[in-house]
Amino acid sequence: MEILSHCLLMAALASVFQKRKGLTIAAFLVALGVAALTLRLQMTVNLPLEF
Amino acid sequence: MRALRLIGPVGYLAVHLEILVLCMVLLGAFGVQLIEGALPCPLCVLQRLGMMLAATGAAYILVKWQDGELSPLDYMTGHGMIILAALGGASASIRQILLHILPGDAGYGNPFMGLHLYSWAFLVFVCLIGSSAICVVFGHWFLEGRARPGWWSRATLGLLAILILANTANILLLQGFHFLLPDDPPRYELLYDLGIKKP
Repeated sequence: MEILSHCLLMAALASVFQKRKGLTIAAFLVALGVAALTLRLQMTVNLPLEF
Repeated sequence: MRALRLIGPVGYLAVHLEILVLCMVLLGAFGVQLIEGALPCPLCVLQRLGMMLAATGAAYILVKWQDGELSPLDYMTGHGMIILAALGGASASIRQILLHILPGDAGYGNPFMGLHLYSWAFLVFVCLIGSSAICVVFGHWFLEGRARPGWWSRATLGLLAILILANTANILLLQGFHFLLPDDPPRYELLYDLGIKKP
């Protein structure tokens, strides 16, 4: 999941340099969504709060 | 009009400054990883990702601005991307702060200037949201400023691209062929997955 979000980040940066606005926003939002999903999974699997 | 001449270039410089500050923080995180040998946990990786996504929003503005194609809509899009990325990164920081909030908990990693790196990261995200909000509020003044593209703009974008490539290579090494990064990663998994190192 972390690798996927980093690949999407690279896609977002590449489309910034190519000045493709739609692709930039799409890659950025999907990367952010994958990062949010990763955080949710990590909270459940690896790092639950233990009070 | 004289005030406009003074304020205008500040907007162009502020975009550079945002990217450079984020690059310095990312370089510092790499320094801690390589010098102290403290491998980043999954939440640290998500915070770095939030910073790089925010820097991508700033890079979007900078690329358009230096080519003279920046419209108010593009300016708002870029700053919206920065704010969204900062909110995402801040949620990972808050999560990590909450994990170590109980009295007696030593926290993850060594503190730097009295605060742990995830606490610093939270402050960075708050500052990012604040600076982007200020840039949007005073956008009509900042957008009056002419871009002064030069080697510094290319160097700023180049440094960001190198850091994003380095972070992607780093996460590939850390995660290997696993679905998720392990909690408190002890080693570079890819080397063991490929059989280069034996457990």
